Amino acid sequence: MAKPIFILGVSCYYHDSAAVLLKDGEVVFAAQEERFTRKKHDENFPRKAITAALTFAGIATEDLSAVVFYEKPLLKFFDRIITCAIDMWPRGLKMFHRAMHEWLQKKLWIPQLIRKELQYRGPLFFTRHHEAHAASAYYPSGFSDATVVTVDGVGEWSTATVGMGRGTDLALKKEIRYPHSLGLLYSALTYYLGFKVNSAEYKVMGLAPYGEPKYMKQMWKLIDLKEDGSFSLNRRYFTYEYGDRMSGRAIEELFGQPTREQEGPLTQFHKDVARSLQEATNEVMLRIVRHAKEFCPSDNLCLAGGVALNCVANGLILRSGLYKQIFIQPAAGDAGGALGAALFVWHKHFEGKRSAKMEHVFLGTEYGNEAIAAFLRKRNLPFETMDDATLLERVSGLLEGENVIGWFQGRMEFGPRALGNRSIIADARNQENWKKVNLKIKFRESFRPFAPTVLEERVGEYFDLDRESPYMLLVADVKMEKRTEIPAVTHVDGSARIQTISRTQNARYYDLIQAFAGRTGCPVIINTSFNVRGEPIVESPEDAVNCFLNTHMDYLVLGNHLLTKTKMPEALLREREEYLRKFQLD
Amino acid sequence: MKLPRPFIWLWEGWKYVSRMIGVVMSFIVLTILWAIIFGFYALIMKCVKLVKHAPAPVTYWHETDPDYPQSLSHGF
Repeated sequence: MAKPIFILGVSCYYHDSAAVLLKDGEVVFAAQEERFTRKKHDENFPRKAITAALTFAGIATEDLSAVVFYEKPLLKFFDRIITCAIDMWPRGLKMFHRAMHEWLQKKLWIPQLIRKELQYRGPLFFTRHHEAHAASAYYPSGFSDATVVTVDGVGEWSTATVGMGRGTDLALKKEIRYPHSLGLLYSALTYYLGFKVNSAEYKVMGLAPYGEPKYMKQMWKLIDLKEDGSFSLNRRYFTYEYGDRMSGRAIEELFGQPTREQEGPLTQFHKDVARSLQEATNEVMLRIVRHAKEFCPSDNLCLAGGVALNCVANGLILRSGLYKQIFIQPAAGDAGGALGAALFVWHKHFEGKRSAKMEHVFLGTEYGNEAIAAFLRKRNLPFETMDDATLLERVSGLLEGENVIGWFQGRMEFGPRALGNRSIIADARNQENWKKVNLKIKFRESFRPFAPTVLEERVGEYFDLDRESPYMLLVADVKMEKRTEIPAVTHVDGSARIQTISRTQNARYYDLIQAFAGRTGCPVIINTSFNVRGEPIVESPEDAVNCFLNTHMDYLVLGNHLLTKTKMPEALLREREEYLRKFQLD
Repeated sequence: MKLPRPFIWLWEGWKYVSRMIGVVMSFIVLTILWAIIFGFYALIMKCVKLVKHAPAPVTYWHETDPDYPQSLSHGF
């Protein structure tokens, strides 16, 4: 039997570092480093994620056929960083110092660092940043051909690309180049609205429905958009090319208000700016995919890059009817670059057969019932153990009403969303649960909406959506007559960021919701990530227990074990402030 | 080999001082590089830009650079 080809994809040194392991073109393991280090958006070398991947596959680094990095560091440094420093001169001395330190000490030595970290002597490959994104969307899509669009902050030069995938071939044809970037425009306005860049863009998206698009005139001053979706930013308003901040005085003068302080009061003005930004983003994305279809015609669309996580724009693209089918890489941001880089090399260098469709994202670490029980006994925590049927019956009963439950099962999700294995769940019919989960469990902003998980076969009953949305990447309206039934997941504009679930994707989570539907008639529950604000999603039973003990969560389900808050030792419940201080607010 | 304690202190002290020298030197070298080399080149580029008037583009799309053979094996 031929020796299997193992390819390790690595993304790091910007944000959301990750490792992905392929075996003969199939994803064996994928995880972000932040889950292990407990530092949100950790950008360091994904040492722990790689160790977990190799352990999971039962191999050592010498068994790897190739290691792939998701960018071309030399191209980025000599072609873009240096060119931009010259272009910005005499501004940007401080940024130049910072960039040179970073690059001279670390980023220019990425091949050496990878080899040293892994003690690896085999072949090392580099893809372009947007090639990695495009590959992460096209190869796992299952489409025989597709138009491929990637949009994010910036890679080497590209900030958005259009390409074509056919069979195992994938080629990018056109690109928008730095400093003109839709991702950076969104980040700059995120900064202006007082939220954390490269982290809280999704909050701006959640804030937008509270506002009106009153600032479109200002938006179109920031961005010159052509009919073909290409665009140019008005650099006068942005400082990210040479400064510490994303935007400065010019943008404040344009909008007539100062930059909001982090955690400062949110006014109607901020909501209106968020809405205007969202409208502009929608328009740009729609024009890009329309042009992409003309240029690279296909009935199928693949999307990736950080902006592809904007599910409002995704929903609009879907409803535009331009494409019959859409696949959006669930780990659309830089973490997914590790996946795309590995897949690109599998298809292009190893000329491997086409990868199978990505059916789920449960690709991370897993803890068995025995290991969990041993851990709970070690911590002296009281718990009940039950068989599958009893567990589902019991938990579906507990879900009714105002209980909030930590749900920790099977393999950890890859990508930014918790999709039913590292989730906090609650009854979507109870409006109070929205407030409770936001303020007493997640300790996050009260305006933030919650996503629903709905049984796939019943999605059409509750939402204006006629297809699956397994990765929570599409926004659609809640049917008018159902809005009062599931108020906790109906956003202020009547929309919801939907996750559909089928039994083949996640049997246990599906069965739980089905049991809940059997009791209540409602096949929809709240699903939010298992963490508090600023904390990465939990990875291990220990992380889950810590989060459970330090929030107002009522129950925790770890595999087949159930923990009840009221039965927990009093002494363990007193360290909440200290726990929350561990995580920097996002 | 285990060194006597005073040597270890001396070594640690030297490492600290040399790091500080490195910080100061790299600041000076990088500033000179930025001000003179980059500055000279930047001024030329700015002059060229002033002279050369590019017409307003019809589109902002650029053709992507084609991959060269073995490009996957290189970081450039």
